[in-house]
Amino acid sequence: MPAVTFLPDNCVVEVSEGENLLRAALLADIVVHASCGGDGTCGKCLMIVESGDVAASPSARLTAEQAAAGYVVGCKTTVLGDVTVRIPDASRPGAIPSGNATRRAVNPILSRQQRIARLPRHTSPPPVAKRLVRMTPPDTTDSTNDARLVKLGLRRAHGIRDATISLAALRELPRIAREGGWVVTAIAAEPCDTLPGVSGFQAGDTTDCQYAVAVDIGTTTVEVAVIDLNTGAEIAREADYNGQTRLGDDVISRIIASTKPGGLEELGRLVTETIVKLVETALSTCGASEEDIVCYYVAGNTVMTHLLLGITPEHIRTAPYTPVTSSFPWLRAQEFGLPSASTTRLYAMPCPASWLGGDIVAGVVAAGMPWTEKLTLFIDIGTNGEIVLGNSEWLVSTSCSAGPAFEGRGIRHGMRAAEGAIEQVRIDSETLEPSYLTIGAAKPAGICGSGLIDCVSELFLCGALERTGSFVAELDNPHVREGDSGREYVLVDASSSATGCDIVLTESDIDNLMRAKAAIFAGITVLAESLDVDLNEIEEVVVAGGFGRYLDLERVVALGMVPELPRDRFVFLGNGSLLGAALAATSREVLRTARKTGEMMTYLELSVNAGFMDSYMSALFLPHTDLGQFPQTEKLRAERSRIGAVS
Amino acid sequence: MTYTDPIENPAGAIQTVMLGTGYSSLAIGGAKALPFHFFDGVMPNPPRIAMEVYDAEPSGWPASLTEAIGDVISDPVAWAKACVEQWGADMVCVQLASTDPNGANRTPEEAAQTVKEIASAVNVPLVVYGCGNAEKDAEVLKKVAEVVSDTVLAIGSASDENYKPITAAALGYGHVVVAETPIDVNMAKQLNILITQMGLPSNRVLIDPSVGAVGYGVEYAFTVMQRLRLAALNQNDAMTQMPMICNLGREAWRSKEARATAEEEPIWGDAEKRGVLWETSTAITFALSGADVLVMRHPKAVATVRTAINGMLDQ
Repeated sequence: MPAVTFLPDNCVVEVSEGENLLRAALLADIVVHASCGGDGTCGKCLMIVESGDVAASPSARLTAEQAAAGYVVGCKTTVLGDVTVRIPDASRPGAIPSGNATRRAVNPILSRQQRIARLPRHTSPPPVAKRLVRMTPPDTTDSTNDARLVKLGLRRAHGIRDATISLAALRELPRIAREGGWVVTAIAAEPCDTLPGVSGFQAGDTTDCQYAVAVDIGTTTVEVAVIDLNTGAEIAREADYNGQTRLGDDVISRIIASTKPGGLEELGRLVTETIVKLVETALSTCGASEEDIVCYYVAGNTVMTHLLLGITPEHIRTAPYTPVTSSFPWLRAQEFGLPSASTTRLYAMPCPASWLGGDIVAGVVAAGMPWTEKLTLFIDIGTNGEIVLGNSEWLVSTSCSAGPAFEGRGIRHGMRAAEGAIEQVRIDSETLEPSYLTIGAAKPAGICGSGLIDCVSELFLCGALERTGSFVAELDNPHVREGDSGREYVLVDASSSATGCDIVLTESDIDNLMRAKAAIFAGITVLAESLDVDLNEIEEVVVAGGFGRYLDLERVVALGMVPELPRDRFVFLGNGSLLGAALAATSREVLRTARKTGEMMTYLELSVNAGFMDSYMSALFLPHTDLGQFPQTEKLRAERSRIGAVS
Repeated sequence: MTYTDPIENPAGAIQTVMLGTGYSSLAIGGAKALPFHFFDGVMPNPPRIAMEVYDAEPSGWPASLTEAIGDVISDPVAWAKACVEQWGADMVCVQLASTDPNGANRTPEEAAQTVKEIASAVNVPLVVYGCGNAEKDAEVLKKVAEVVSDTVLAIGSASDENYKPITAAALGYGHVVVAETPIDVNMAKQLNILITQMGLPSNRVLIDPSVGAVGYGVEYAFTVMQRLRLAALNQNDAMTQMPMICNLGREAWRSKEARATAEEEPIWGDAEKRGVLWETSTAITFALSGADVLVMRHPKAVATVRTAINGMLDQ
């Protein structure tokens, strides 16, 4: 069998002849960009064949220079004999996104104190915790049995009624009770429907060390946090790309991958591996033992949650687009091979709809929406824009497909928020000269979502863009030129870029961003209109998601993606999904509210909404067809384009 | 308790656009209620009928149409005079089809000359449409605007691709712009915003919403026009308050039902009656959905639509 050597990893893998290079890289455990899941359409899995025989199908994704330099599209190139292949950095997912400390957050996120202030005042114990039980030893006058002594103790000291004890725990109880001198630590929960309340015992008082793990499974990244249940504080946090990424970048390609033979198991294994690795690292940083983890709280979108639990998500993709379930039973963490004791549980946040998952339920809870009287708009911006409007009385939600533009896909020089991504852009009104910042202060390699928003917004405010998103026709500026698909703005010159070619923003990139922002704004409008709420009545806008932190609010507003409201009505939550899961770990009340929220939240389906298309078309304009909704933006544009070279 | 008729009191009104000059000038629009809803408010100007004149003899038209127009079809000036003098058109709509770069590719100067001759031959206002090629239309209409500057023309159609030069020409020579968008309320509004933000007053813009004939999307066009009108009147939305012009003759006579001969479709009956009926019913539909200018072709259809409009005005 031919051997493929991958550089610079120096990894060798044997594959059968005719195997493609992308699959070979996956076999060698090298993660390569493949947004399309290996269909040959995204052109991101570029590799350089240094020596050996391959058969490369021609691809429109390669420029002439790239082809001349030996570049091939990995998934379209098959191995004929022994080959040596170099995988350039640009083809790899790059640095861990949120662990990247060099990234400059524009918006301060809510502090722990601020978040706590949004939650109910009274404290509530964790749903699952170690609970100390002091038993009165039985004697001849009091022949109460062991289990009954435990139940009595749980009721008296912890107010837990009618606790049930698992068979495994009962088998251990007599030994542990006597070893511990009739002082035992019960790992006990509220009656949690599918599992007995008490899952195990430890001799003596071990309540000093008890932890929960909150897990946010994002389509792109997975983040875990270890929570000390005695203090409620987060003591370690880790993030990494979701291992499933190698089978496709977005939920749809994951669903497709899950329907292939063995795909569902493979996807489950990949995400579990990611979680295991992260939890192990987190535990070693904080010195906690996996034996002391009492429960995992998992929040993910509906597809991610289905995949973790090995439930097929395939029907989410086909009419009438339904998930298998919206709530999940309590489970044992060991079933998933996660770092845990046999007693450790796993709880997955409810997913109210196909496109509205546990991540949003957790975020809504973390934002304190179920406890506030203020009319609050919650938005989580990503490939899918999830929007929730309401307060303690009612919550209505929707999700709109924004497309992958915010993740840098479908954009000529788009990239994820990794090292070298342009994340902030300012453009001089007079000369259209750009200035930009990159993640990690590295040489610019591409534009990520926040950079894209900044750039388009700046061009619009300078008066270089028409309200329709095309470049002003009379514009005569060295930064704007005719490209191979319409006009383009040159953001970085080839001589200063990491890729050796110009980094440009094309009219079709702007178009993609326009569609994304219009979908989000239309989602907000339709939701508000369906409830007869005027956008100005919104008292607070909670922007969730890691992406939200890096957005320049003024520019997001100028683009017409969110309503123009006073700056002080916006707050930034950060990773609401992880925060919500962590909060649920520390408070029975929060978990109960999250479950209730998952059941009660109304979901508005936009695909069957008559008004959506209309709202979308009116948002497909800069900033919006109804200019009266954006007075500040209009003022700003008038001022800036007046000084500008174009008017 | 006595009964009183419920009355809608619209918050907004349609702009009045003035075309032509002196005694040939004509007011378009100005309604303060839905079309023919005289019980709610005034409709000072009925829908005007603009008859089409092509700058070169059109080819491929059915005999039922060319025969009705007669010999003048090869002479734009004579054709225009016939429209006004024989068939009673309120306006003439000059279609500069021969400027099409993929066709005869006549120059802007030649086109402007034709328009100038027609303008001096008839005493009604003109609407001047280009050939539909955004770039060429911008050049041609600029020249027309310059050469025929002693009367107010409606020039178009301006799209999001060429509204700038066309609006600039209208601004410079005092004309009115016809803003055309593909049958969508928001896109119509957006183009009006772009045009008025260049400084052209909103009473110098006509909306061409792009319509379809009966059987070819007439109901869709009807709803879009109705929604534009409702936004203009009930929501007082300034960017929808321009009068509407429907370029419908072209659409009606493009349909198979209007074009097929009696030999081709024997059971469909007389070809001329059928074509006229097709254009008439399309035109009346749009008169009812808020059209302020109906662009039409067949003299008999024009006569019937005129009777229908007068009948409604007399109610």
